[in-house]
Amino acid sequence: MKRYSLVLFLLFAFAKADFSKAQQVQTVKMEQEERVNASDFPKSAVQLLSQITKTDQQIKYYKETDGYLTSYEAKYKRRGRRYSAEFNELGLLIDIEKDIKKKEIKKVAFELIKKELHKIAQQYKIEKVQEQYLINEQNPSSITLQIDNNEFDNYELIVAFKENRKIYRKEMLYSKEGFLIKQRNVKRLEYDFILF
Amino acid sequence: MTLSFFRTLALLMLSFMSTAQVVDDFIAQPSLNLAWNNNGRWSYNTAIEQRNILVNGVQGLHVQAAQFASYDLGFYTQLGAGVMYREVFDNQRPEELRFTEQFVHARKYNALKIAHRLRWDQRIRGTDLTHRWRYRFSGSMPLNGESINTREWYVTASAEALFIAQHLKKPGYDQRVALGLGTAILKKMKIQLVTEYRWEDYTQDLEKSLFLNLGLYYSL
Repeated sequence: MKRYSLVLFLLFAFAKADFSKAQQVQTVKMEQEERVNASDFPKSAVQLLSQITKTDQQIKYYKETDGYLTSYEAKYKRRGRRYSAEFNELGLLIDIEKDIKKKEIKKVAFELIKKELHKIAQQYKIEKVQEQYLINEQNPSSITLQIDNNEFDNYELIVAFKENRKIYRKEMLYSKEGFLIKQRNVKRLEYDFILF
Repeated sequence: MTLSFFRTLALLMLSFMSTAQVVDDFIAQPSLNLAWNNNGRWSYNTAIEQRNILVNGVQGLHVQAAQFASYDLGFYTQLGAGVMYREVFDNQRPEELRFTEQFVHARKYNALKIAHRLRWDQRIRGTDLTHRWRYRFSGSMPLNGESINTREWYVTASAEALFIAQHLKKPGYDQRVALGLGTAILKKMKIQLVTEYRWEDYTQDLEKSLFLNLGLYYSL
């Protein structure tokens, strides 16, 4: 009897783990990124990019699939900063993200963000911060102006959390005032083949 | 006179050439690796490996099985312990039992994964106990995008230094470097070919070998 109860326990434990996994599916960040040539990128997007990047440096083009959605992403550097521009399936620019340092987050917003992160887990570590510029008009000069004037809309953070039973990562989107807009889990990193 | 001088010299050089060969042994080592993690702080790794030497065909040296358990200490650090048993085909030599403790620091910088591994091995062969302290620095990077997706390739490289101590024996030093290529053939399955070059016991009796490690990695 004892042995059976152990088997049953294990069975339920795994079933439960699978169930809770299934519930999370939609909120997990599972982008599949594929490097492509400029010629495989929407033409209008390539053109717009050349006008806003104003850089001789190489632009890297990626095609992204996230579930059923297809989108395009371009990565480039400008004035020593890393940028990534995201386009929809039709080649319309949706947003531009700019890498910044943690201490560049505005103070008031950062206090709010930290308070919120503390509620999720006692210990956390902000691994990556980006300013998100939402694009309304496909106009290169207004986009450049928006970025040069630092008129961003949101902060996008990758945060690692540490709890008693697990360590995990989330992608958190905060408004520039520091209010949480959305969050999703980031896939666990695998290191196995470089550790063993 | 001069001719015989050069003949002697050539003969002498020949022996130099033979001792200066690049590789003493060619080794092929296929392995099966299983990783198990349930999103908690504990993770487990199992590996089965066979070592073959390539001389006049393929000749098996040993098979081994290892079991590891690791615990996530912090955001990037891990503590692990494992046990390995090695069945040596040569009946003149004892089988090996090995205990391993390790501390690992691994982090991802954009697309590049970097890991530092400090290991302490206790290998028991018959009545002999050998301690090995080793440090390995390794990295891996996908050749496409930020992370490895199905049917995408990655490169991996590592360098490892070993200090070997055994009672009544002079200390030994090994050095290894490795370079490899891998691909995710399925969502949770990777196949990886690594060429590893080893300088074994380089302070006393240097032996150089080239390893071809072919591994299949599956994560549950």
